Amino acid sequence: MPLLHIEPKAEVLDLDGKPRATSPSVALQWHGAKVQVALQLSAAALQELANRGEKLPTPIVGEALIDTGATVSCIDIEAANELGLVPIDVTKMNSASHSDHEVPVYFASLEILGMGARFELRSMGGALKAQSLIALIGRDALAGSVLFYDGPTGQATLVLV
Amino acid sequence: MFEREIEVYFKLKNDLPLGRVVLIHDSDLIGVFDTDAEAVREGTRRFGREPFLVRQVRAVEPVMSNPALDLGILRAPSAH
Repeated sequence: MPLLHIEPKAEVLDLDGKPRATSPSVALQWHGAKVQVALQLSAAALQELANRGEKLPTPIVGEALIDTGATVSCIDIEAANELGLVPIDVTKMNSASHSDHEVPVYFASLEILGMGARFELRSMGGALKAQSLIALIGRDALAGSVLFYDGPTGQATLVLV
Repeated sequence: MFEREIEVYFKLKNDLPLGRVVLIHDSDLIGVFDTDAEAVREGTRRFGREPFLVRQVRAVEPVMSNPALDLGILRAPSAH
């Protein structure tokens, strides 16, 4: 059963300006449950583009945050453009701060590295680069997973069932 | 984006099978599929990297939410 253990590290500066590690609990609160992922076109799109003799993109590797608040997963629009990923739809995103607005929808492959888990999902596009993220893993991906979030020990475990 | 395709989708919606996935390009309904992947395969085979609409037929169009992204609090400063 694919399983990934997540235990982020974080540092703060002490009064002398020297970095020191925070407690695991604080590190997990600050960083959240982040995983390394590879973003790529779907297998079907890759195969058909190869059949057309087109050059295939190299997957983009970066960090993704597990976000249980997200209805569906989200990928960074800049990363999508870099891959040559074309939107397949638009959807309305419910917003707490302003009226509902439209965002692009992509069909992309997201592989969680070190776990052997690959999802092909309809994902919303969002501006994530400024957060040093390439994806948010939403409840669509988590629908087939068990997530243990252990705040006191600063650890999370993702299990694909 | 997809103005024409979405117009076609809503025009045909009552006659489309709920739960299945449609592929629409420009003003044409290209096909009806069981999964997004099948529709994307056919769309890419026909149109390459040109945009095409792939949408599951639903009685009510879904509205997504992503509070952390929307509110810009993915990495909000902590009280610590």
